[in-house]
Amino acid sequence: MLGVAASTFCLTIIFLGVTFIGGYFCLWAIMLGDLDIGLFLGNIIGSITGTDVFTLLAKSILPGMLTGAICCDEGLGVGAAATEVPIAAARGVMRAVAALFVTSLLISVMAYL
Amino acid sequence: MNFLGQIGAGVMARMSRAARVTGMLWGVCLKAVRPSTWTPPLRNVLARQILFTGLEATNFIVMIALIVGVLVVVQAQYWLTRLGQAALIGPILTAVVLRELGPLLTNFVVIARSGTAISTELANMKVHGEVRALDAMGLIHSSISSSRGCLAWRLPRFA
Repeated sequence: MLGVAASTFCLTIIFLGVTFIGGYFCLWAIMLGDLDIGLFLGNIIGSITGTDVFTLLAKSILPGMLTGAICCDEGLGVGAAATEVPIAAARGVMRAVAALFVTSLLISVMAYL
Repeated sequence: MNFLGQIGAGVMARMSRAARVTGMLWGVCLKAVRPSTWTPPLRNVLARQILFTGLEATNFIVMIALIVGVLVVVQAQYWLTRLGQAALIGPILTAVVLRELGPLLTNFVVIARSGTAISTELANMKVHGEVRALDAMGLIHSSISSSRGCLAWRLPRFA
């Protein structure tokens, strides 16, 4: 669970960095180089607030931990039949996705409303 | 079972699952804040879990992030420029990518890769009796039937 949570947080940071830098280079290619990267990234970084950082942390770590816990619970909930293994895996994914959406919704509501 | 009984059984089953998951999370958090419980096998398995879930998924995450960056950033810049609000690119990208899309997509990838792997591995261990063997050797504190949560956080490989 801790491993999943830590990995999710690190992957989210990588995702954000690559998204912004990749998006900038695509814009740069389309606009033929008349866009300043400092201005672009400064505009994004300047609009990040403390609430955003807290939300990012919560939305990365909490669903990660929940994913680990839910999948462990489903995996350990099978009986003696091998046919229950794929059912448990599918059920674990569905419940983890549902938990992800509910957690994200709750965190957004608490942080921004 | 009558209709009300079915509703009650469903609610009880969901509450029971929620209690198990909460217990598991609590157990892991308790262990995490006590460095004396970080045994070498547990550290080793934690490192391998991070390697599998984090490092090995990096290439896929980078590919998805590049595609999302091209799609979202270019669309945002295009439409904001047409509306004469190009200065809002920062707040718009922060609201869309940083607050919502980034954590959501990353968690999707983690669930798809590691969630299924964890469930399948544990279920196979249970079916093949490995969990009972660990229990018999005293490596697990309590039996599965009484507390799945306790089992999961005491097994070092699922740290």
